[in-house]
Amino acid sequence: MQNIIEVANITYAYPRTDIPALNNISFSVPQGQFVAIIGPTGAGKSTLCYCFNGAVPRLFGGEMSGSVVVAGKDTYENEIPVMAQHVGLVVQNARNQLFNVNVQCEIAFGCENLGFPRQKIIQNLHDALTFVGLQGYENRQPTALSGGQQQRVAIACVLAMEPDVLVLDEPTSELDPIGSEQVMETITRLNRSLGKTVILVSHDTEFIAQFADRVLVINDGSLVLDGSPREVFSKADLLSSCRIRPPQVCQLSYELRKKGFPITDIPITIDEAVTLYEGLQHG
Amino acid sequence: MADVGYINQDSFLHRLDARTKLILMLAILVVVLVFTDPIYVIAILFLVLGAWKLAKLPLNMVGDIFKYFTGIAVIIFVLQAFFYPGETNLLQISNPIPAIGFSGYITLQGVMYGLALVLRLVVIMTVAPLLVMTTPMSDLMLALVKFKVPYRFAFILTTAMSLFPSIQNRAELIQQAQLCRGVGDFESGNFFVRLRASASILTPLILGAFRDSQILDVAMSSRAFGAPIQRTFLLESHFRQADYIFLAGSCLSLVGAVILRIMHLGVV
Ligand SMILES: Nc1ncnc2c1ncn2[C@@H]1O[C@H](COP(=O)(O)OP(=O)(O)OP(=O)(O)O)[C@@H](O)[C@H]1O
Ligand SMILES: [Mg+2]
Repeated sequence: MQNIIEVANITYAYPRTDIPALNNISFSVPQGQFVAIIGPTGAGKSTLCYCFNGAVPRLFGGEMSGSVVVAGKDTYENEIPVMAQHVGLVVQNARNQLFNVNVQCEIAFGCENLGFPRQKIIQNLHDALTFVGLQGYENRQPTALSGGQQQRVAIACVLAMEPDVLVLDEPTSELDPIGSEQVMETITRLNRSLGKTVILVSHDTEFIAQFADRVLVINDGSLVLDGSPREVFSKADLLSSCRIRPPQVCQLSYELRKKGFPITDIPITIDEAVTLYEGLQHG
Repeated sequence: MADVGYINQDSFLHRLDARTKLILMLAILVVVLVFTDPIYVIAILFLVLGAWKLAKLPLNMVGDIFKYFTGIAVIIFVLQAFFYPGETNLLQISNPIPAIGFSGYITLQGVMYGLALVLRLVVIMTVAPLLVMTTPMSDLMLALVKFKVPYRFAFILTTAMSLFPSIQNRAELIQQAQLCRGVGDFESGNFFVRLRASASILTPLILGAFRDSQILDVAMSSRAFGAPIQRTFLLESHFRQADYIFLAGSCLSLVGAVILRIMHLGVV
C-alpha cells in the first residue's frame, strides 16, 4: 500500500531555544492506518503534530531540517492552506480553534476558504454534523457547548474539508469519561468507517491498546519506539523510563510476571487478559 | 463597556439585511453630524431610542452606556462651553485670557454647541449597539464583504468584535485571581495603587492573548484561512421590500439634511 505520510529525519528547534523539540524523527504511515502517539508532557507530541501541515516551522519559526511529505505534498513547498486540503489538524485545546459565531459557520469556514461550491458546503456540513452526532446544533454558539461537543465540532470542521489524514492532539485530555468516550468513538469511526488515516496523540493507553494499529513513543523529542500496541505495551521498563502509564491490564501482568507467574505475552486488553488468566487457572 | 452582543429577537430591525442596517447607521451618523442645534440632535436621539424600543432591545442598557460616558461628556461640554467663540454672552467668569483663546465669557452658542456635541456622541454610542445587537456577526461580515471590504479584514474585524466579551470575561477572572492573591485594590486606593493593580491584570491578559493568538493562527491556517483560492460563502443575503424602503428612507434623510443645512436650519 502507498504511504500517505513520509517523515524523514526531522529535527526542529523553536526560536530562541537550544535544545531541539524534535530530534531526527523518521517514520512513514500507509493510507488508512490508525497511529497513536504517546509520550510524557513536553516530549514534543504537539510539535510533531504541527509538522504535518507545516505550521512548524512556517508559523512558529525556528530551525528545521528533514522533510515531511503528506499525500505527495512537501510541507516545505506548500503553504499551510494547501496542506490543509490533505491534513486536518485538530489542535490541543478545542476552545482556541472555535472562533465563529455558530456551529454552522464554524464547520463551513474551512470549506468556504477552500472555495467549495455552496451546494457541496451544505452537503458536507450536514454529513459532518451527522457523523459527529450533533445534528440540530447548527445555530448554537460553539464556545457555549460542553467540552466533548466542542471537540466533536472541531473534528467535524476538519472532516468537512475532506482531508485524507486527521491529526488529533489530545482530544480528550480535558473531558469527563462520557465526553471522552463519545469523542473516542467518533475517532474510531473516522478510521474504521470512513477509512481516514488517523494520527492521535493521547494518554488514554487503554483506548489505544484496543483500537490503534500502531503506536509511536516520543520522549525528549526522539522517537524511541515504533510498533504495534502489543509490542509497545510489552516493554514495561522502557515505558516506565518514559513516564508513560500503560493500560492497567498490562501493569497487572507485569506485576504478576515479577511474582513468577508464567506470562510470556503481555495481554493488552481486558478480553485478552481474561483468556490468559483462565488458561493459567486451568493449566 | 456594557456587554454588547447579538440579542436574538424577532423585530423589524433583526429582519433587515445587514447591508441596509449599515447604510442606515451611516445615514444617521452623517445626519447627526450635519446639525449643530441640540434640538435637532435630540430629535434624532429620540428616533434612535425609538428604534431600540421597536427592536425589543433592553433600554436599561442605554442607561449603562450613559453611565460610562458621563465623565467624558462633562469634560467635552465644559471645554466647548468655555472656548466656543459665540456672540451672545451669558456669564462672565474671568478676565479674557487671549493666550488660550478664552474670552472670559460663557456664550449661549458655546453652551448650545457643547450640548449638541455631547448629544451627537450619545447618538453615536447608541446607534452602534443597535447594529451589533440586531445583526449576527456572520451576517455583518457578509455585508462588509458584499461592500467589497477584503474578506480577511472583514473577518478579523467581526471576529475581534465577537471575541470582545470573552476577553472581558477573562479580564474579570484575572482580576478576581489577583484579588485573591492580594494584589492591589481595584476599586479604592490611590491612583498609583490602582495603576499597579491594573498592570497586574494587563500582563497576564496580554501574555495569554499572545499565546492564544499563536494557536488561533495555527487553527485558522489549518482550516485553510488565507488559501489562494476564490472564497465561497455558505450564507446568502437578499434584499426584501423593507430593505428597499429603509434604503430609500436613508437617502431621503440625507438629502433632507443637506437641504436644511443649506437653508441654515439646525445650525447654531
Ligand atoms: N511556542 C513554543 N516556543 C518555544 N518552545 C516551545 C513552544 N511550544 C513548545 N515548546 C517546547 O517544546 C517542547 C515540546 O513541546 P510540546 O508542546 O510539543 O510537548 P507535548 O509533548 O505536546 O507536551 P504536552 O503533553 O504537555 O502537550 C517542550 O519543551 C516545550 O517547552
Ligand atoms: Mg501537547
